Amino acid sequence: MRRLALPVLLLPVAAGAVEFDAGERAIIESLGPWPPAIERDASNRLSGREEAIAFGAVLFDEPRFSGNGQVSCRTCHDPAKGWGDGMPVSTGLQRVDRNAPGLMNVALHRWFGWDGASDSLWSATLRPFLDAREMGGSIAKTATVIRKDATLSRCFAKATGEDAAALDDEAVFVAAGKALAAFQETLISPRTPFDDFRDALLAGKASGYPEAARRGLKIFIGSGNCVMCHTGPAFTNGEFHDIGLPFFMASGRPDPGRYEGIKRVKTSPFNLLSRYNDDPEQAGAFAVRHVDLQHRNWGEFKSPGLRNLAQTAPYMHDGSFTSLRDVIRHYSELDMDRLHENGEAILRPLGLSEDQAGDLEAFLLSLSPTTLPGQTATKRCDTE
Amino acid sequence: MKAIVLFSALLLAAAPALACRAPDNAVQAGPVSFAPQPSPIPLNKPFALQIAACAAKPDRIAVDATMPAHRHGMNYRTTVTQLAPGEFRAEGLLFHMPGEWEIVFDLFYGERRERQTHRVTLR
Repeated sequence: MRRLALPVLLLPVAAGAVEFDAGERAIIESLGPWPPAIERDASNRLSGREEAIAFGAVLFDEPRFSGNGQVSCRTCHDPAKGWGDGMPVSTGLQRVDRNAPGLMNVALHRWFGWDGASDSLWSATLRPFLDAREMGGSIAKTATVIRKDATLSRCFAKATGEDAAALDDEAVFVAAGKALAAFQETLISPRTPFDDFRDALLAGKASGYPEAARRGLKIFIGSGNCVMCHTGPAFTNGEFHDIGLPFFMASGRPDPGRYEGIKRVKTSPFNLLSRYNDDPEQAGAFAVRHVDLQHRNWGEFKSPGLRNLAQTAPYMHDGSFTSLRDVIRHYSELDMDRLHENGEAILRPLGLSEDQAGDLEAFLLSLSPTTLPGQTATKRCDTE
Repeated sequence: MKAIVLFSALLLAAAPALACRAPDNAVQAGPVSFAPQPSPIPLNKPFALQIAACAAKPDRIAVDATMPAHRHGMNYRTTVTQLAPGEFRAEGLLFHMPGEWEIVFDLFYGERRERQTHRVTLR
């Protein structure tokens, strides 16, 4: 176990605890329970299968799929760094334009990637394989590596019940993505001080949850309006918003964000309307079938979940904020001129005092576990 | 006479299957009655609306929703299918934020459009 530095959580509880009314308690209740029940992904026949999870864990560390044989999923999604890479923007074969999001709790999302260019975890997992700046691989190369390696081909057969040699390249490629997704679905973050407080509050029990975090929670669900977009146990509605960040990337080009993401997911050969959706009902295809491309989607990015923030700096899609206090300052001093004129009318400068900013930071830090599980030894996929 | 009575009884018995009928547990909004499926409307999850407009049956219906206070609508576009004269089903609704939403029904009668709205608050 590794101990995180969260000194704010060790503050003593002051007399006269912050109280929450019935409406606030209802909102607090909606932010749990944790951990949530994870439903099997019906679009992925390998979801929840132990053999596929073990195979996916091996694939996650496999660099031979990349163009130079040195980049794996782990390159940008390091368990020791909250399953991100700790960099503002990531570097695979080349530098990319966006921050690598942590993978904890990724199974709870509806859209994947900052622009939601994928509508399933398995299709999102395939994307970096083919991106020239990330892994720079190919469908054929992935299939060939799996077929030619005795261990990988044996694990493929155990995970899928199929012989990779008998399938076409694309079928092997998609199955690899589904095994990787099955593995990532198991990455659920531990309980946090907030979860203990929520459960105690609902049970009418006392809690050592710090006063600063309670005051910050009041701002989060009240005057700050944060809970409008950061809803539910994962603290995200999984949708897309313009929050007044610059449109331009380091390269000088604008980042269209969700606007391009919708176009990409609609035309993806691996979306949930494709033949690779294993769910005969195609229930999950609701999103790609009905998502509506609108002008306001330009420059929108996905609301990230807020669990594990202590582990996943820097923040935002472009990694432009190095600390949580920077993020809070952004919302406190929001430049309204940066927001779409015809966009949502949700945000306004919060105008927080230093004390209030500290309280909000204390609450946000309480959404991270105080101890992290050590990295679980990967079960070998080729053993009985 | 007996034959006429019997024929009338048979017609009455068959009528419910043919008539335009409001969905069970429907909410009334002017000429429109509707029921969400699932009910109540869930936050941040897809739902459908079973809709009936029986008094004057429209040729077609369009359904949308907005958050007036936030000046935005849904991120999804609905599709509406006619199930029977006056009866429709709208798919593809998702309310991604808590707060007050306004469901907008546009009822088309030939060239004429009649708009009906209904507000609902999600917590």
